[in-house]
Amino acid sequence: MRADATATPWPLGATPMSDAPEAPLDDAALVEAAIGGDTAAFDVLVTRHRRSVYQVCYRFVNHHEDAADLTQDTFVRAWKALGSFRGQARFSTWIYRIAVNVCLNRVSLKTPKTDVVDFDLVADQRQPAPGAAIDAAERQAMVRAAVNSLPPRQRAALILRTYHELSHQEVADIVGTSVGAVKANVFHALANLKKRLEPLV
Amino acid sequence: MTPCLTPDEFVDLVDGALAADREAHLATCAACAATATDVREVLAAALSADVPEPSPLFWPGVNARVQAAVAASPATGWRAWLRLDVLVPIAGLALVVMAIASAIDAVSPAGAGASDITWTITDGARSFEVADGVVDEPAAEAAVSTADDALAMMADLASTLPEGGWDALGVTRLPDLDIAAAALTADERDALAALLQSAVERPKS
Ligand SMILES: [Zn+2]
Repeated sequence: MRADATATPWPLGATPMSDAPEAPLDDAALVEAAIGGDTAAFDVLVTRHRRSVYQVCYRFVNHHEDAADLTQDTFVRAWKALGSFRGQARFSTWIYRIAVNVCLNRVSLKTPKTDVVDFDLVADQRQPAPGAAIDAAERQAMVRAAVNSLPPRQRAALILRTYHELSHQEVADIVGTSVGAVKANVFHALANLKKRLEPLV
Repeated sequence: MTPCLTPDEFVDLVDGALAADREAHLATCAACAATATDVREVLAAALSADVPEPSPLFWPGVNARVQAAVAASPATGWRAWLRLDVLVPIAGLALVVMAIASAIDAVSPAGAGASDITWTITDGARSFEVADGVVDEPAAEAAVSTADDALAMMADLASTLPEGGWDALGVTRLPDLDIAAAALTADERDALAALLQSAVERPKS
């Protein structure tokens, strides 16, 4: 299993970290160029990070169109804020931070500030009766819906840690909390998922 | 018997990062062993759920939408009116900070809609009414419209300050600043503080 400090920043599963062609410049050089007004350099950054940003957003909202909007919003905000990016973090971590903030803002506009989630209210209508056969696609949809029903902070911690293989420290930096709080959020997220997915696991 | 595992430790466990002596507890405690099994199973279930892959046509569309939005954002944004020297007189700076705090508050979920933003920036000689994110001054249009802009502006502003930052400029309306800061959420305060700090520390270019 991975060690905390050496966690790789990208999903290790089926999804490639980038669908960009071989790019000669690293992110830092592209950011420098983009700060200078080079929109083509910024376009390369978008290409390089669009998939992972979209996936974070999708897992947050569980909806393609919303995730597409949030992805666009993330990159536009990044463009506007490039001047405040000084390379103390990797660009990938920085863009995740923006994505998570964009998602948290969106989510907090739609859900009570208290982070209380009533699982009954967000019941997945596709959930079959216990004992019924569940195919893989249905099962995955149920899991995504369950993740989507988590309180926002738990959702952020679980998504970044589990699906994007960020270290607890990186997640803590992104969501602005402590490593201990991230671990607690991940644990409670899993506990809530367990309840939500009782028929499955 | 050793103490039961904490939530942190269960997470360390599934990460393979739990100390051996703590992991040994599982052999002696049925409750923790059951929780560990649950955590592993639900994590495996979570990992099994991929994000549906969008159409290949979707990805170039992302670039196109971002490029269009970037192109549509005015070239003469807030940076333009910074260069008007309207902010040079120090008396105006505190009010600017107030305005920024208002902007941040207004776009935060708990605040009013962004279209409600109205504030006044004074530099001692002139004053601009700012409403709906637009400064009512020809060369100074399309000013701060989002918290991001405001934060980026704070960073740029701070980067132009001499040694000592705001204090060195004799910003005297600190009580007002405190009130403004109190209106921010903890996250926003932290973001603002970090941004100002890093901007003040940044070498002048
Ligand atoms: Zn125990």
